[in-house]
Amino acid sequence: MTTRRNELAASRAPEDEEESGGWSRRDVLRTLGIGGATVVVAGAGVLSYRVYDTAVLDPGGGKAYDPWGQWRGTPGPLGAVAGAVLAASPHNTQPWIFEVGPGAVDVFVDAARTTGAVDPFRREQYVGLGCALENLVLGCRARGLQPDVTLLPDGADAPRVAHVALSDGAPEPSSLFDAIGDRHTNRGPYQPRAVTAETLAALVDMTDLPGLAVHWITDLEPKKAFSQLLIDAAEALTSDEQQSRDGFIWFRDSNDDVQRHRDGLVLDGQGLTPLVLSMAKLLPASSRAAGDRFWVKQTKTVHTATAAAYGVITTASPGDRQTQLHAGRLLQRIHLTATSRDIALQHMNQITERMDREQATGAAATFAPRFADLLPADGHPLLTFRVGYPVREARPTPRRSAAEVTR
Amino acid sequence: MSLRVQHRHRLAGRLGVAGGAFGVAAGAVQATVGTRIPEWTGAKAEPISLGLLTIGLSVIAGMAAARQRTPDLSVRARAVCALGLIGPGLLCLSTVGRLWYLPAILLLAAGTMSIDGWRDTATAIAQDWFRILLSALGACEVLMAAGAAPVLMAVGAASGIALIAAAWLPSAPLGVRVGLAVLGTVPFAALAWTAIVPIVVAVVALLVAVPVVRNDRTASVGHGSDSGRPR
Repeated sequence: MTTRRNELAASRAPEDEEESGGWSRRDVLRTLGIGGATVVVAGAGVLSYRVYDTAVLDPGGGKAYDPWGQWRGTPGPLGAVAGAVLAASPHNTQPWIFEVGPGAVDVFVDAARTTGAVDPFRREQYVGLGCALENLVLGCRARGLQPDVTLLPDGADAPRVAHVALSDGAPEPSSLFDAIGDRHTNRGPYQPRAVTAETLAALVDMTDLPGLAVHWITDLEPKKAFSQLLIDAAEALTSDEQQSRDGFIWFRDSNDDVQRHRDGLVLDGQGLTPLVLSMAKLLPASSRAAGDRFWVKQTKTVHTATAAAYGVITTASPGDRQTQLHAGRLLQRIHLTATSRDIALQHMNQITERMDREQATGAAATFAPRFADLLPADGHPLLTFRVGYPVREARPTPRRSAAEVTR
Repeated sequence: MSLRVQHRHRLAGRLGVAGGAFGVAAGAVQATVGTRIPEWTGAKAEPISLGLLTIGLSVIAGMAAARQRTPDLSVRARAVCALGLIGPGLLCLSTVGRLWYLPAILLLAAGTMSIDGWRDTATAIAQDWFRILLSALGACEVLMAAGAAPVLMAVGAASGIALIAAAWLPSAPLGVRVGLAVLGTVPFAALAWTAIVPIVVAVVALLVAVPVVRNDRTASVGHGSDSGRPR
């Protein structure tokens, strides 16, 4: 009897609870399960949208990166311009405009494309133009157009920085020309492997570039001192409100911005591992302060910690525009040669940027004397970079197409 | 069905078809002259593809509007029609900018009006809730694939479709449903693992797929109401 009563109670209990409007344990668990699953799926939906919106699955894709795949195919002078737009420039500002005529290409400075207080004397801007000019010359030669370059034909302050007269000649392909599409600034770690003095010397070709010298810093102690100088300069630059702001303006943190502006600094160019890069893209955009902290940390733990050697381009006249254009051509030549030999290069100009800033604001020179101690007596620093064998390949950065910068 | 309900369905149909037509026009404008009027079209980076997507979704909305006028439509089918109207109505707000304001109002109104009984609709939806969740995860994969490199795009789209198929083929053999669920998760997650989210989606999808693929009562979470004819 007792058993029968218990069976009845057990079999009826859930129905009784349902009929009375109460919730059984099963109902509660089921509702929690459904609710939990729904929340998790909604979260997955939000993350999936972030993947789509930030183009995590297509790094280096879209129109902003198309010029990297189009620079060889376009014939004639416009094709040479298509190679020129792939050159290095400060903060990827691409401060150039080209005018393509029947027998010449003129290169103009786009004065609005500046990094402000980071480059108060527009030294780096002109170096960037020199880089583009080197690619332009290589592109012309490879297409059977013999270039004759005249720098600053209208004077040092005029917007036209170079006139490149073209005449017919035999096509001159070269390893430097072939490297144009593979040359990217590599901000990632480099292998703990030395670059020999012979290899470093072979990176430098001074042909037609007077007034310049390249000083390599490879020994342990000078390298250590130079690394510390770079770290101090990075910290000083990020502590300088105006320099920090003017640099941050060029950071493109969303794929929409990258595709719209097609210039500037991007996460893809920071040398991160694929996993970290994806996470960085999925997270909300970082603030200026967070970006500054990241850069200083990378300078300490990656850039200086893994540099095989530092290169410094020096000159007796760092303020001369023609010298700056020559230095740009030399820098681009070094980078292209390095690329053709599987050597990575990263531009690291924070010391000279701080030197210029101190000079522009009338502040006491703190970096110039320290830098001078590491250089030969007659050489003023103009550009600085590190080289080494890369741990991973660098990624391309956005570019405006030749058509966008040609008039 | 009362005359009042018939009248409402007719009105919803007209509003939906009009919304779809305006939507097609908005998509065509975006695809052709979108870059020239960015203040109207939302200054999109990919106006042509977004314009074409808008046209496609507008056509779906128009078809849903026409379909919901069918008398004696099941509650589930009516819910699908409403989704076909409301979904594009909301989605295209991010594809053609201000040009979508009018179509959005028309489609949202039509979608709302196409529903006969909210309680019955909710019950029908609840019965298929895990299938809907699995389909949503398939849609997540399609969304991720839409912004991916070509190979990943193809694999992601196929994976998303496989997941949706696994959710809505209850009469298929168990092996086929399991195969679709695995195909809909593992390859895309393996190829796109560095993006992390495809792995998250795959894990969640496999968990959600268990009750769906088994096709037992746990896949239906409602309380026994049928999803057939309207009451």
